Amino acid sequence: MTDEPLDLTPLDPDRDDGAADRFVAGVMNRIAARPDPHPVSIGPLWGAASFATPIALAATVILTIAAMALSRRNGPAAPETVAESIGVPGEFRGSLAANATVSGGERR
Amino acid sequence: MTVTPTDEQLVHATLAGDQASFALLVHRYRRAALARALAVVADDAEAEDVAQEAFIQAYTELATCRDPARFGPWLLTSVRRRALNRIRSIQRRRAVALDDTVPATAEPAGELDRRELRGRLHRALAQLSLIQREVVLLADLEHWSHAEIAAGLGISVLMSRRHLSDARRKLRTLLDTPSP
Repeated sequence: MTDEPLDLTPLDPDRDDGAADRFVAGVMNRIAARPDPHPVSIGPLWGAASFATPIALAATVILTIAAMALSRRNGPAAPETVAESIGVPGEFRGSLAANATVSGGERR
Repeated sequence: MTVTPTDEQLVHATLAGDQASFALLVHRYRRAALARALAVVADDAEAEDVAQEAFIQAYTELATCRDPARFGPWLLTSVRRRALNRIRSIQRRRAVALDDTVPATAEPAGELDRRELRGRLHRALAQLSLIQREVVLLADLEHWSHAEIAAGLGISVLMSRRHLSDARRKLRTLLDTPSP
């Protein structure tokens, strides 16, 4: 019968043991020796992290400086006397000042 | 249960940087690529080199494969083109080095018989048209169906049947004739 398959096994590329592995390794080694046209993909936000750190640092510095400036402008006025700075209530501060003047006068 | 990845999945994985996926594609289409190259160049070593180069080119240009599900036919087209270029290059080399003689190498008797058998098959195959060689190698060496051959070579199933029938008939006649 002419349409029976022919025996072409002498042409079989796997007649040698390990021919398949050698072939695949040959291709992959030759590919590895070239620059890779398909680098590992790491997503659309790749690189954002490298920008995030300096931006965050700069923002922190700016915010800190701004907060300090605002607190200076809006905060309570600096104490004018030692008594005020150590928290002596206003009603006593007047008498303290008077006593100081009196005793100072006596010393003189 | 092991799920075999499709060509499309392997192509996409390769494009995402997974070289192991491409190694699976090489393993899957190695024999078909070798058969197609062999049909053109009629030399085992040349066919292997052509097939390897076609795979490397396929890897490099994988992003241009418009239909990853049809990686096989896309690759086999490249194999054929490369093999035809190789044949032209071999013919030019032979024309230049006409007087070169190949030194004989000592071989075991069994290997000599196999080499002689392969030589007879190659000589007989050389009497067929290129498309007949491609079809008969894919059918009788790779055991592809007519549908697979038709898809792989870009011909109809009817033409695949016709080429295979013609190729087998011619080969039987040639191989039954005692070699000179």
